[in-house]
Amino acid sequence: MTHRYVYLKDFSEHPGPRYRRLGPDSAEEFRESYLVPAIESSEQVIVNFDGVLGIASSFMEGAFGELVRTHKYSADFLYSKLTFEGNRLEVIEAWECIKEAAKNG
Amino acid sequence: MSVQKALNKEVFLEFSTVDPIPLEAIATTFESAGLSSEIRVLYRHIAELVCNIYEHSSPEAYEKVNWSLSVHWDGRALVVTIKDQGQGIYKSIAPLFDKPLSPLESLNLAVNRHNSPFDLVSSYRGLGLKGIIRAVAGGAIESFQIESDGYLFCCTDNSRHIKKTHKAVGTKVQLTLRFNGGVK
Repeated sequence: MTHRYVYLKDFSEHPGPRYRRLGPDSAEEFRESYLVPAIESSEQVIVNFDGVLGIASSFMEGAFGELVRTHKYSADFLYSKLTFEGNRLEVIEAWECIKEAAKNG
Repeated sequence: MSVQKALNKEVFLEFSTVDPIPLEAIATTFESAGLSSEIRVLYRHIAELVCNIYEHSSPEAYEKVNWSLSVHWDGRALVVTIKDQGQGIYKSIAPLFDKPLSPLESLNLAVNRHNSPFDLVSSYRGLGLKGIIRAVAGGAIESFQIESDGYLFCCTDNSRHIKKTHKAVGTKVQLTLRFNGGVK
């Protein structure tokens, strides 16, 4: 089984806005450049949140909720594919974003 | 260490939404003002509030909105104020709904994302404010205030209320953080 680690701090220590058009280090850029390629090329993806100054809720939503809305991954697929590591609240929030996106469409 | 000693520089930064979002610069400013541990608590909330200004303070993306961030010690706690000269919450939220909303209802919706009679959830709005309110409830932040369109929402760990205030342009947010007690 292929595992791939995605370290958020390698993308930015100062995660930014939801959309690329709003500024640098956006969730949209992280999702498209790091997350989706990892999901498409690996059986398991471990996303690590350590080493960043903090993550805004809109970044979380733009990174993980949009995996469901924009990229049409099902929540079940993402539950089996992704593992989150880091601060407990951040891990919970990332899962909540996926769960809410799946629920609300 | 006292707050006065830690806050070794006055922090007052002015920006406009035609500038790139300056989150890294804000973090660096806090660190150089001796507020490294405070920015670790506040960064996610400041990032959210600043991104909200860029995303929601103007009906048109190209319109310039001036905003500022300041930090001061009020003798008891560290107070972070983020203030913009934008359209305010009412004009940002009201167009999302068919039913007419008042400014008070708009503010109430913005701070009560999951308890409102309307559906803000599907618009992905209010997530950041929910996170701040959760941080106040958990003790990471002492208090949160947001003022827009003549109303002020105040939140501490044991009280939440909205009151009428004088009407001013834009939106003003204040976060207070007890020094050496940011995270309980």
